[in-house]
Amino acid sequence: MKRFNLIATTLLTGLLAAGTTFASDRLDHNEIYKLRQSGEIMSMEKVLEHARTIQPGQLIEAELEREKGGYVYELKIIDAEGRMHKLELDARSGEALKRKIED
Amino acid sequence: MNSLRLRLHLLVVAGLALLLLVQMLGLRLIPQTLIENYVLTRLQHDSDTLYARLLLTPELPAQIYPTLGTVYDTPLSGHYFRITAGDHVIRSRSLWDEDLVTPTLTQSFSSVSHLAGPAGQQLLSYSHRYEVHGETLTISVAEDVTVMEETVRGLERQLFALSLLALLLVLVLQVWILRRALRPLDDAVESCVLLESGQARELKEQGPSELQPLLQTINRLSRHHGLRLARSRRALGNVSHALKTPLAVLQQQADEMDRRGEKSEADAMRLQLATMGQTISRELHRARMAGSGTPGARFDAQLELPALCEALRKLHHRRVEIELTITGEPCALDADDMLELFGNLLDNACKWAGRRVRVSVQQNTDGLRAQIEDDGPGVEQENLGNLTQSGLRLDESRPGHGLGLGIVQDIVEQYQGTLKFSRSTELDGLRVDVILPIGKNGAG
Repeated sequence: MKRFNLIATTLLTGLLAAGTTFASDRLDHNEIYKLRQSGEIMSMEKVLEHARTIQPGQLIEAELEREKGGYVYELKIIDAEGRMHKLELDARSGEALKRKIED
Repeated sequence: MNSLRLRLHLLVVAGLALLLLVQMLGLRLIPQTLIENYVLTRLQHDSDTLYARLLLTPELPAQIYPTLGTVYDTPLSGHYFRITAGDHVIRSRSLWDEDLVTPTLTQSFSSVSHLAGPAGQQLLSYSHRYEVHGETLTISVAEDVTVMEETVRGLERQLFALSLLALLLVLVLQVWILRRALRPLDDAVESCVLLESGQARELKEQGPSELQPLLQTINRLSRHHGLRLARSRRALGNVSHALKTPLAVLQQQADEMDRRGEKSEADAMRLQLATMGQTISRELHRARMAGSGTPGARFDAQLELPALCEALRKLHHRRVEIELTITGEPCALDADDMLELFGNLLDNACKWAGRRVRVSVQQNTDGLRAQIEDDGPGVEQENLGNLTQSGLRLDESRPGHGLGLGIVQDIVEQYQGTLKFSRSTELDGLRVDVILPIGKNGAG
């Protein structure tokens, strides 16, 4: 039981570590929460509302990245036909920066 | 309120409304409970899984990611958890840049609450208190139930509309059934009114079993009424016939006495005899008139008057031409009464007319109007009022018993009508105006 516990813990910390190393320029949701509190980025509610007008569909994944002193939201949205859309929005203004369909 | 139909309708409406209310209550509670129980089972399960995850970590982490599948990771997905232990807070990644206000449990082990979530979501939240690493912590797991609630409301609205439609349908059906069931009553009322105005009609004795005894009774009463009336008429007829012979004998004896020279005694006797004769005639007539408004034939001027005119023309040796104009539909007046009335008026007119008599009749369901004019000498203005006094004869030179116009007056009074004498403007003789209304009491 104890050994199992140990293995699981190692695995989990490994995973968590992978997550953090992976996101060197990606922010975790606790950081995002703080940014939002300080008013540096738009609320996710507004961002999603705006994204929906650009590309309707189901949100699959969202990430906030730090880029050249600004913040950029990278959204993955699946439309009604099942195509995956990748959308980049300025996190401060909501302005669309990049838009493409992934195959 | 004192209407059987209204009462039954109100009862049905009240009953159905109550049913509708119970149904609405059920509709509101049952799906709600079902959904909440279903969602809560899942939330409890996720809460226990989170607890197990925390047990595996040496100390409380700042975040748990990836967690229980993508729903707790995708931003604002509608599935959230929040773990509090003192000041330490672990939010699910799906909460992203939002936070929830979850209850901190100190007394009870678990609680269920409704929370307002991000992006206008309505959340159902389950919180549970656990002990991990010697610390007391509360795990709250919440799920967005907006869509489910909306579905339930939609279902509720549809079912309500359907129930309302069903209620209206039942009401319409009830009105129809009641109308059908109570139709014999309307028939019975109509029959009684007809009976009053002189038309006997056998009622159909079919109908609801509650009404059948009434219909049978009305029929029996109508038959009984007719029989009794005929009997009393016959009895009076018999009496008058039986009295005729003795009266004639007495009349002869009076004449005999006159011849013997006892003139004053004979005159006294004749006077009494005349009074008796008048009394018998009047009573006989009254008995017949009591029959107006009882089973008898309906008077149709169109059918009856031409024959009557022809008979009178013959009676007066075709000396007089009778112009007859009749308009309108037959009305509910007793045929015997009307024949007697027109017979007397026409006979009177023919008696006095030079050559022409003009009769015009207007009849409809409200009653009857008639004008009878002749080209005879007419009656002086001061005597017009005396015309209907029975026994009084303005002109003794022509044959008659002095009863004719008196009988007419009786009949007109019986129908609460009016009788007017005047001078004819066109024929210059007597003009008689008769108006017989058929009101509620007109034929009484």
